[in-house]
Amino acid sequence: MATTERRSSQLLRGVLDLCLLAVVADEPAYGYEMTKRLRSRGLSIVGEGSIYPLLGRLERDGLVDTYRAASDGGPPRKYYRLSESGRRALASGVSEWASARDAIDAVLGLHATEVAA
Amino acid sequence: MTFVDDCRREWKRLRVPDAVANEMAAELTADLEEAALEGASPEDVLGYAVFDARAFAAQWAEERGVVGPEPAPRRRLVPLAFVIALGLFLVITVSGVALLVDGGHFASARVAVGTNFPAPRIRKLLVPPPSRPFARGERQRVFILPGARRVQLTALPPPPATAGLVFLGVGLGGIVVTLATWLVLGARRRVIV
Repeated sequence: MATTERRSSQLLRGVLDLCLLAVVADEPAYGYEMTKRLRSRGLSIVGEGSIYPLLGRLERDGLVDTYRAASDGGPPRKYYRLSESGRRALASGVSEWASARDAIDAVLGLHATEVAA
Repeated sequence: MTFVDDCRREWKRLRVPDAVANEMAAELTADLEEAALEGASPEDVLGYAVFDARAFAAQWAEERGVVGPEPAPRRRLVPLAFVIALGLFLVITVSGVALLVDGGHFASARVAVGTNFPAPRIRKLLVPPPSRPFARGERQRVFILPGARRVQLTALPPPPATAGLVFLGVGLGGIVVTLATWLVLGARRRVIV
């Protein structure tokens, strides 16, 4: 069980930056809003570190732009949106992920077939 | 002390610019407050980072590239020039003391010799300084040749006592000036820092 959790954690850690880029690709979001979007798509960060350091790195690398805007009845929030270089990085990352996933599926799928037989 | 307060303290320690620290603190505070209103825990927002505010704050600041430069370490080494100057003046001082205390070993002798040619009378002759320092207890031999007027006299160096005083004065003065300069410059540096 612990091994399964560790593997899931490592898998998520490797692609969490892509996931963050993906959830702001269509619509800007502030930090907690991004966490909720991830959770609504089945990804929980509870067992992971916070997304804020990662957002800081994306901001420093110019992959996201930020701006402050009023939120619904609350204080002004810091919103993140995809920059042009972020959009290219996301496209490249998705392609890499797809390649890796296909290769792994080919290996694990073959094994699953053997087990089933 | 809240989680955000702990983060602020860490950012201050890391010399994160105030504007950036305020921005991060405001962002975090707003997110935590919204989560609380929705009934979510801080852990839902921060993951396991909620248990270590300092590490979280440091990692965030580092990833953003806003950690300030390390303060320059105070120079504890004494500037080499002062050390050399002090050493030099110390040697001069010690030399002066040695000349004053032990100057006799370097003194040239004043001797009175009697001559009877061409007429008996007492003359005072100065003997050239020795070619090497005398060992303690060693005495200079003076050979008086017939016709003492032929003794070749050379210019004598300043009397040892005078040289010793000069050395001592220069050495002590140099030490005082060097130390004073050192202290003044050190005080100015502390004021600047």
